[in-house]
Amino acid sequence: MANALEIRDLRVSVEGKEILKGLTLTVKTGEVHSIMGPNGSGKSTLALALMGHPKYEVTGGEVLFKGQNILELEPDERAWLGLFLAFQYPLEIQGVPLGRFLWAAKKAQLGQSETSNGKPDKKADAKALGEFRKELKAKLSLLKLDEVFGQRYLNVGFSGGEKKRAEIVQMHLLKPQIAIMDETDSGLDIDSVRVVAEAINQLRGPEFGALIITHYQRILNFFRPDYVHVMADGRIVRSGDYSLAQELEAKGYDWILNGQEQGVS
Amino acid sequence: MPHTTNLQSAFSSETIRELSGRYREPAWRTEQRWRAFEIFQKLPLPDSRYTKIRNLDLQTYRLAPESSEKLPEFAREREAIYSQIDNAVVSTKLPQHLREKGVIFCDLETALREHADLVQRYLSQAIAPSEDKMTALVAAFAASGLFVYIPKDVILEEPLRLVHLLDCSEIAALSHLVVVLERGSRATLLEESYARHPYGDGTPFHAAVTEIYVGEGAQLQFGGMQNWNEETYSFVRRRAQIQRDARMHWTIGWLGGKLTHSYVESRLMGPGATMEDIQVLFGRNRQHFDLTSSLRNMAPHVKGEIHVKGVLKDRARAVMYGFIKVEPPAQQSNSYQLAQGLLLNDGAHCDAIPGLEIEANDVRATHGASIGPIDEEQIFYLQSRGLERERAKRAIVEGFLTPTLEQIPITGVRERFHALVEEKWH
Repeated sequence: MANALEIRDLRVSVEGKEILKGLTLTVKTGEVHSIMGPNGSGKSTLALALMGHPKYEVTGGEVLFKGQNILELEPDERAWLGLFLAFQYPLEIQGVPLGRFLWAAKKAQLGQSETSNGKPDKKADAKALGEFRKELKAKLSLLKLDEVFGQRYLNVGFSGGEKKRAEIVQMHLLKPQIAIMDETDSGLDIDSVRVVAEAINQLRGPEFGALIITHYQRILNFFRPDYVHVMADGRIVRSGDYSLAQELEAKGYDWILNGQEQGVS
Repeated sequence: MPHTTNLQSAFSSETIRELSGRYREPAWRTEQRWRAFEIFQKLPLPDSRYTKIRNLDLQTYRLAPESSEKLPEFAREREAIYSQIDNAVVSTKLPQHLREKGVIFCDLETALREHADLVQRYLSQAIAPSEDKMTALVAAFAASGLFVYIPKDVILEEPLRLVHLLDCSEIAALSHLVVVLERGSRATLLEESYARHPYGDGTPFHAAVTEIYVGEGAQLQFGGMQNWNEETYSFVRRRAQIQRDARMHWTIGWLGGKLTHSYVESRLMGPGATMEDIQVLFGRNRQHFDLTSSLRNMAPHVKGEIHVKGVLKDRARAVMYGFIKVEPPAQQSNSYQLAQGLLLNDGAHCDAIPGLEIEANDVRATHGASIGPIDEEQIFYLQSRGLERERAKRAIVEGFLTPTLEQIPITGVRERFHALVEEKWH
């Protein structure tokens, strides 16, 4: 049975202003969904609200993940369940090396899922750390980032493209079941888009589902999403398969939006 | 050994007579005590706009008699070669090979007997007893202290480790440290301060003066780590006189104390002298820190950098003063000062007060300050990866401190500071 992220009639406000106005969407593992839409349609709000950003107030609807209502959960608890968000603007954090941080995150996740007896097993830890280091090295190389990025402080001094690729490194190591990617492709040159898209493709399979928010159809050329949705004014206004993305590329958003009461905000 | 416990107040003329007799001090030293005592009586407590000294009654403290107690494993673990409990110097032992090189390392009273001329040349020269009430107090009544003398061109590979432990809260712990590096010599000095009773009752009191003389081309790294208990009043004044082409490097970590009052001054007195003054503090509960870093450029081509970082939790407060004075001869000097504060919750407070006084025209002197609450966006980012909120905050705090701690030249100190921050988190 596939694990699913079920968003039902979700309403979200930021500082008293309603941004999501009843959004419904289900993403199952094994599926890749893409959400497209003009600026201001609420795409990033959806991503941040799903991850539990404290500024985004849920005023209606529900979000189930693996059948559990996650709206009451802290962001870290959502992560432990297997949800991941690749940030549009990854934060820079001084003094926290990427590798060490990811190891801490990984251990936090394992600590939650394991039914251990609470006794630290040093030998097992050392072995796990060794494997983790190997994997980190491999994933950095997959994303065409130098090995030293593991020791560099989280996103500090990274270029825009390096930050986005580092997000995908994190996603690979944390192995979520459902990943939300918020404009991971924006600000990337064409070669980086290819690298990122290939890395995402590697994760595809029955155990992995993705919700890819993008502004451009470009990245979708490298991995065909199973579903394409168009978002406008806080709702999904049209859904289709990959051909919808191609249609949008050719015709723009206007032909869909003109059928709506409200235009681009 | 005579005791001073039955006196009305330990800070009296009887005590000075007793001290100078006990140690058979040279006349000039006793004379210095008398003058300092006079000043001590006249001066008020070093109160300031940001730091009100409440509930400190100096009359209630006594000066401890010599203790024969051995310092526990504590000092041994830290490989200390000097240790002091409250007011009693418990051990000074310098390795043989350093003695052979002419290094002097002994308590101040012994130094006064055995190296009187040398001590007279340096004692109370960099820091005048009259600077404030506490410097006067130390000059008048300190019976414990340390004299360190590194001869010309002698290079010490291993750090000299000093440990000071506060035990009895009714005793005024005073200490006077004099460090002299002759031309071309090099040393690392590490001073650690701890409380025997982390949650003891009473209000321990500590006042210390550290005078440092860095000769031509010499290099000194001074590491300080203060972890008194949170009932302690502590007043520390340190000054380094740095000669031509010499280097002075301060790294000080502040964790303890109810009220910590620190003044660190670097005087770049010879051309090409350089200094770095790096201080980090972590305050919680109702701790109060008043830290001054002062830099005086007194010669051309000197370079100085001050960097103070504070993390404040609960209702802790800190004021971080950074003063740079560039005197007329200090052309083509370079100075920089940065103060950063991270507030973990409402109620924690931090002020950064910079001061620039420039009397030369061809200089660079800059300062910066940033103080603010911990960033919620950063917390969310780390949480989204599976770190619990508290752990996310801790990672951010450690990250805030790490780049600074990495500049501490002694690995053990760096790790101990991290570990102590970890402990203080709870």
